[in-house]
Amino acid sequence: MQRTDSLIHHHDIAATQYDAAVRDAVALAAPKRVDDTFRFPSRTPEAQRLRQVAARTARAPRTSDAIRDQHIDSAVQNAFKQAQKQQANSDEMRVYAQWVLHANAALEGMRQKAVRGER
Amino acid sequence: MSFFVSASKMLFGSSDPLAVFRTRPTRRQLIQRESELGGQLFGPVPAGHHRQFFNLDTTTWIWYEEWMNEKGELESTTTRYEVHENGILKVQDNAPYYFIEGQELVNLTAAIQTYYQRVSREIYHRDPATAQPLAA
Repeated sequence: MQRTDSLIHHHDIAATQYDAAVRDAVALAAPKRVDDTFRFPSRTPEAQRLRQVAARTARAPRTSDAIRDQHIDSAVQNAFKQAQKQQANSDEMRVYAQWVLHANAALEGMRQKAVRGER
Repeated sequence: MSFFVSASKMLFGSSDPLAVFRTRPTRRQLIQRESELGGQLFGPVPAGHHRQFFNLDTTTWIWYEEWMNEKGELESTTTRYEVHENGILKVQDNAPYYFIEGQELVNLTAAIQTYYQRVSREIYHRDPATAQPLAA
């Protein structure tokens, strides 16, 4: 059996078991939408609380609590920025994947025509 | 014109009836030819290595590489790229699956683009942009 044949054969056997496993992996590994992970609209009670804390901190002398709140605020903002960046990557991945699927379908079409002997 | 020649022309569009069977490779033979071409896309293969890269079906790409290690034993690695609507999943034995991104994604897509163009022209004799047969 040629090497490519053996790889295809192996894939054919593994495909059934693999499909179920990969479906789970895809579901787990799929990039989440920003909204799913970071519910951070500015009007939520939590955001208002953070804003009040920030205003109080601006007026009051710096205490360890105020500094800690500032750190939390900055960490949330950083996480949000990071999530936005991830979203850009996800969009990029989707565009590439769509293109590749299109090319794969075109290749498959050419193969089928060649097998049928069409020019 | 003999009966067989005219019948062959009518049925197969060629005066040589055997030419039809000679020019009709199987799907696996086609993939074999593609994989030979695909293995050359990533630059020179190191001495003693054998590399194959090919499109298996509408959602799967395979990278296979084998070589002899220092002890003279054959080693190989198979990487499967599963194309999903939301990204390309890289699957290797004994390694976690992950969606490729960044430079790895760009490199793979560039390789697939080159593969598509070369295979279209050199194996299927079709224009990669239109999928129409190339002029003889």
